[in-house]
Amino acid sequence: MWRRCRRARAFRWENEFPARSDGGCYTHAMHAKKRPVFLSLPRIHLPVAGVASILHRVSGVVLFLSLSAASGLFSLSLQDPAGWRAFQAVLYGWPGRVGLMLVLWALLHHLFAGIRHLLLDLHIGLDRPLYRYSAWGVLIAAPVVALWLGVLL
Amino acid sequence: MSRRASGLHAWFLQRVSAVYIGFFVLILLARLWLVPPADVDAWRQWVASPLVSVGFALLIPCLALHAWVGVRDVILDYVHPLGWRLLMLSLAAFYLLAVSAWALFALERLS
Repeated sequence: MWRRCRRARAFRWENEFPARSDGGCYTHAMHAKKRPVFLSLPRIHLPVAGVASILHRVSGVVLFLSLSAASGLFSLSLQDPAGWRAFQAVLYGWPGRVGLMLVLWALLHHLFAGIRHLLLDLHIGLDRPLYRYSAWGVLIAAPVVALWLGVLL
Repeated sequence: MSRRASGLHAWFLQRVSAVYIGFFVLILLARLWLVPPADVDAWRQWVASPLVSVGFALLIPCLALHAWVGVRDVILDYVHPLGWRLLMLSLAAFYLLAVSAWALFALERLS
């Protein structure tokens, strides 16, 4: 049994990361100048769930950056009638509309993917077909609902 | 902050705040879609009503906390030199404090 495994070149930690001759460890090597790079971007095909996950992070950063505009607009809309008119002018102008759509997409993607992650934390939807379908659902629903809301609001 | 908002503690805070923010955003979007405020007074009155203003007052610190945990994770993942890391972390913290104060003052002016 053991021989068969060896012949089949099973993954073994020592083979992948042999002891270094300089006695250093790999954690330190990562901080050295000549850092080994194992990533080959064209060869990596991120699975759907991975795409949904990285977009969860991207949308989070977009939302973080939009917080200043959000609280500025919130403050402006509550100020006085002139502020309200300025707020509406921003919202119905085309740069504002495009910005709103982008932020809406980020908000909805973050929300849907967040709900999915919370359900995964509760061990709901961890198995393969549902795990993938829910990722597709998040990826598709966010822009669709964002477009729909952006046209309606 | 770093000790309080690290590890499992931060993970937990992020999820609890996420649930609150999620419900609030869903209710806010539904309300704005179903009954769009007609003018400033209607909008101001709605935001100033007890339930909604308390909801907003709770939303702002929740959002700041949630965003802090998330952005801190992003900065720790991608910014490695210590000086840059500290700079980015403090910029993010100041930004969140400033933005929260701005929104809270706007809310406070209503009452």
